[in-house]
Amino acid sequence: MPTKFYLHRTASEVQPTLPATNASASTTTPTWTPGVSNGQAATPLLFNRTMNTTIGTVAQTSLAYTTANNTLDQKQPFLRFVSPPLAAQTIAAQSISVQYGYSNSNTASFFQPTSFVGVWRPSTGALVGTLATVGQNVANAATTSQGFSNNNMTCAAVTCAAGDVIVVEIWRSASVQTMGTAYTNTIFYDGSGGDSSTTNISAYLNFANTLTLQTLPAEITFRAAVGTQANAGAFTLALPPGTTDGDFLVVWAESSSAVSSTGPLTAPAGWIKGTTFSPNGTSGFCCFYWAPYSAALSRAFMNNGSSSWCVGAYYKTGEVLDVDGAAVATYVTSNTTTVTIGQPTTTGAGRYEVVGISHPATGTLNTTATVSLDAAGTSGIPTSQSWLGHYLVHPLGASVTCPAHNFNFTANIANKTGAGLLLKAAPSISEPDNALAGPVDNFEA
Amino acid sequence: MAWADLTPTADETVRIERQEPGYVLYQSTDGRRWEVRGVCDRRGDCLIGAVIATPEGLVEIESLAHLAWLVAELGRERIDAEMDVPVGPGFSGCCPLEVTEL
Repeated sequence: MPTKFYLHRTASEVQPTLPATNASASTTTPTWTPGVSNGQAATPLLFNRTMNTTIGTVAQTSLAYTTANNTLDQKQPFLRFVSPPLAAQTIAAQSISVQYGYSNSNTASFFQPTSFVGVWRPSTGALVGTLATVGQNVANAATTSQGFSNNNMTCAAVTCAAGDVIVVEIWRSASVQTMGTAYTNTIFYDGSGGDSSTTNISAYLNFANTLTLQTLPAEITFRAAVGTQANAGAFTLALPPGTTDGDFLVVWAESSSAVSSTGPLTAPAGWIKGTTFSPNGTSGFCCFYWAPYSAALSRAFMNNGSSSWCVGAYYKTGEVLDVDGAAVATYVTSNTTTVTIGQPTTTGAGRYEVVGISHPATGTLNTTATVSLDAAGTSGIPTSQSWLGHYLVHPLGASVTCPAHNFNFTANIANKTGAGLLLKAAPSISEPDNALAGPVDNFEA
Repeated sequence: MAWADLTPTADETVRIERQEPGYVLYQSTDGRRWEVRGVCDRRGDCLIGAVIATPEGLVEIESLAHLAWLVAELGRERIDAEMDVPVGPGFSGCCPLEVTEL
């Protein structure tokens, strides 16, 4: 039975060591070190993105690359995707295919994408073996309309250990431009429209045979998050897509108004409000709110000022979640591009860090290597902006102090807050892990 | 001819070895040489999709109308580069140039 991994935009959470963003996982040397300028624009950094067996649920995304204005070989990796951990097995030589959308802004760019497929060992941070090399299968030259590749090839056999992952990189091949001008090469992926859509492609890597994935113990898991902004007034808190009974909801909110210690929002019964933070004591008030979700949970909130907020849903199968201590915040009041996250310390093993970032102004937040940004409250009327994310390393062990995650804004901004909140799990009361079968079990025979 | 003796182009990896009306002989840093016969009539199709530097940053030319607007806005006759912009083997889709790799 085939194994099909869909390529997604979200960051891979495989630990501990994935390929560096400024180097290919392959043995092929790019024309430019990823992230370095090709003379026209910066080449793409190779963020480790997720691929899994679940098809995308939203519109496709893309990565556009500006070529160098020359007619030489411009071999360059654009995107990298990482599978979930595999069980120990030998991946036999077999037919594999990598399919994604692609186009170029002019056929003179002669964009012929290709792909690398390999096995990577996160425990050592090393390439285990190459399944398909860069240039083994080169797609037809792109047109100015979105088409789709089908990099069919027969892969080499590679033996992997438990915990190894498949890594795919999509490259511009060694084909040369027919004119010495910079053009745009684009890759499309992570859509919901199916394998061959030319507007919403569900890009994938397919193996003809079954690959066995590692069975991992349950841990606290991020389900989804949403964010928004609004002026003061009552509202019904939106749920992240897929939220189900038993999920744990965490809201991070900030107000650009002087709402003081009441916090940016007033939550209904059933919710708990965390400590209110403010970078200067007079504005930018922000805090976490949390509650276990059920259909009966009220979501009738009051927005106490011009506020932004994000809500995330988290779960652990068979267990209920709660917070592990108070959130820890740090402030950067100076007019700079940086913000740092507070560092909570775990009181036990299995913890999970949720991260909130806010400021009472406009500005664009860049991604960082240690945190997945899951939602942004940046698309409304007020200038208050909030982001919600989570630390990519989890579960956390006992007595672990979370890193001081650093973020950068694209412009100087004052009065920023970054907070970390830990989640913990406990067995569900309705499903004790040491349940007695009946009263007779209380007595010796 | 030595590389230093050749005429630079907008492509730093290509220089002109010989040039006559309707004829250009190019040489590349990777050792390739090719000749181009014909005349660029400035129709601009090869510039649609080109990414050029402007005072506002990099801009992708979207259409011939956009190209005309940029020419007027930037006040430049040649929008892409002042130097010769070489075409290479396989070039098609614009002016009727004949490219022969040697």
